[in-house]
Amino acid sequence: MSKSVLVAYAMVPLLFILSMVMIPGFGSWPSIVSLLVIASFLGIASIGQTLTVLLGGIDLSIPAIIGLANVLTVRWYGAGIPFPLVVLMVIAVSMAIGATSGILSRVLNAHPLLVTLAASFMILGAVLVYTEGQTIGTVPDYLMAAVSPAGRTGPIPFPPIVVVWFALTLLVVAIEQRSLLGRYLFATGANERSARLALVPVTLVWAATFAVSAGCAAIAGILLAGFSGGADANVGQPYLFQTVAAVVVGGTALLGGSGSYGRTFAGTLLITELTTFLIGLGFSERIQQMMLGLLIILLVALYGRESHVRSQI
Amino acid sequence: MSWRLLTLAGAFATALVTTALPSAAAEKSAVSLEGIELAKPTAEQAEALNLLPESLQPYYVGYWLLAEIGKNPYAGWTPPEGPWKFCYNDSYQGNSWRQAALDKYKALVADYKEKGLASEDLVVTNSNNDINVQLSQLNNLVREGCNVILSIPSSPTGLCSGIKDAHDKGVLVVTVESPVTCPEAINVGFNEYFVAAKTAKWVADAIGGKGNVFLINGIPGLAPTLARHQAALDVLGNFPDINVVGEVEGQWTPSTVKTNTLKFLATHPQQIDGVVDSGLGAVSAWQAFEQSGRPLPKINGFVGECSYLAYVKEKDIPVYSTSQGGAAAVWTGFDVATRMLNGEKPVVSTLLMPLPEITPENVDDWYTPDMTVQSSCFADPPDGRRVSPEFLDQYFTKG
Repeated sequence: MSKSVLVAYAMVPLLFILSMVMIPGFGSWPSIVSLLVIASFLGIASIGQTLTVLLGGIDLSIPAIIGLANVLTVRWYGAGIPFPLVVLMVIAVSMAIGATSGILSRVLNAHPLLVTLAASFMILGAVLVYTEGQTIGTVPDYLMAAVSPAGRTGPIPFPPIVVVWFALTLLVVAIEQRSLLGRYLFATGANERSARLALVPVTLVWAATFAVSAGCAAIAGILLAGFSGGADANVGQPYLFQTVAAVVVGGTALLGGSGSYGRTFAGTLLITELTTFLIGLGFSERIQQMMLGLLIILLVALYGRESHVRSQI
Repeated sequence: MSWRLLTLAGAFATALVTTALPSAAAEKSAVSLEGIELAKPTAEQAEALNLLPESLQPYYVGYWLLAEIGKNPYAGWTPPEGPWKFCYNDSYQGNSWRQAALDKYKALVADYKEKGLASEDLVVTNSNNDINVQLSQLNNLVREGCNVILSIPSSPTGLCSGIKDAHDKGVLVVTVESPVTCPEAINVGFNEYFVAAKTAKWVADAIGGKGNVFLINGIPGLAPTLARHQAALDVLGNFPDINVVGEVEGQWTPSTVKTNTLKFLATHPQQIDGVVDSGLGAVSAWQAFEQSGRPLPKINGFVGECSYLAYVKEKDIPVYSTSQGGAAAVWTGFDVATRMLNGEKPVVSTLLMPLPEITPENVDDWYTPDMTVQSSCFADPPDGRRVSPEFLDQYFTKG
């Protein structure tokens, strides 16, 4: 287990050094901060994907929640609601949707793949109905500064979004390893039936996990509003495959029960580095995707030799 | 009948204006493509161009990258008597461009209804980018007795059976902004290649004909993306001292433009003098430069976003943008349809036009102080039109 954690973590500095040697400017401070900002969006959106995968599920509604949060933030703030309240409302709405998906998956005994896919369609449809296609509104200047690579967080030379991502990473890893919810999460992901028999409140764990997933997607959507300065219901689209890729590249097993957000953290950095490296070499988006696919296959070949936790016990 | 009177009055007024203005070349052009080598037509394409009056041929350069030109499929068509039923076969309504187009079309029809020229309010369908749904909606509109259907097809081939059926039943189908290959349709739009060539030429001139440039491309695989991309490369190829250092996939989505521009800048430390944007990317790209601590390059606008105008005003930097707003686009389609209802005949099946240009000289006619870098609107032409009625005259022979 610990060996595969090392793979992703070892590749991050290796690829960085290779990029620095091959591409002038890659190692400069503004470049590093830009990469961290871009990685932060993916990293925050991938928190939920990691947790739902650990549970043995998957969350396909992350892009839709990002779009929902993005549009609502811009619209509500533009309508004069104070920004902190907007953030709370957007996260609350998103978490309620996430919790519903989690509960429905258990109550209907339907795979979350289907439930969250259906949720995506309903969310995006509702956004279009609610906004009538008009993406009006505005975002506060400090939100734009918070996601600008030129920004700073007090004495820390990183913009707030990077600090937020690092803080969330520590928090999530702590929850995974030190809290009751974390233990319930791994127990349910490893074997739901035995978890039930051990009196783990499985449905509640699913609801909480999907709610957290949606909450993180909402944070990403709010931050993206500052990044582009406007609303777009489709802004989350790249984050469907990318979040799954970050989880897989990091080494969390898609079967659930084994892995950690700490790995996804490395996976996120690795993917961002790789795509930037390829852009630096002048490869098109098509080639970038092919290379990302190759990386996934390569890593899966390395990770895939471990059997599922259920059969290890 | 009042609509005949009105039409006569309209024709009279048009005639007056036409005589008052010396020529249709009143379409003033800010950026000239003179002396620039552009895409060359094959013999067959050149022959199709000859269907057009000579004055229009320059505006059709590179048309084959996005459309086909044929003879007017409605040459033998007898327009129905008014009042007419106007319908809209839309494929998506989820962005402000489509919303502006819909609002404009509704307003135009409401105006016609008031004048007794439209029998009812606009009938609208929306397929949410599902071409099969759009086809069945088109068939329904024909069955419901629409006289004129403006359509924004989500595929260049998928509606052909429905368009042929409509044509056979005497219903006029005009596509707006996305030409189809079916010979029975009238297509109205702008020449992607010609317009993109102008934007690239402006960038080349703005950086003094030398320096490093990169391109921001649209959604891969679509005809407009390919045409705009080819135009930029063709134009920049005329400048031996301009070095195209790369391309960024922006997908006409500001957040994607910003992400990919940041990645591009992180790996390209050399000075960048200009960026040719193929749409909706300029402000995001500028912000990426700013936030990477790099000097701002010259960047063109394409659609004419309010945010572009607000940004250049705020930073006091050179401005050049074409204007491709939805309201003006649908108005042109409506104009063509109503001219045909009044007996005018288009010279070809596909009417490709230039776009209005926003330049340092006229920017104050377009800019309003309520525009900000976060605005999602599009600056409309001061007179609301893409081309003047006199310019449009050249595409028609009077019936």
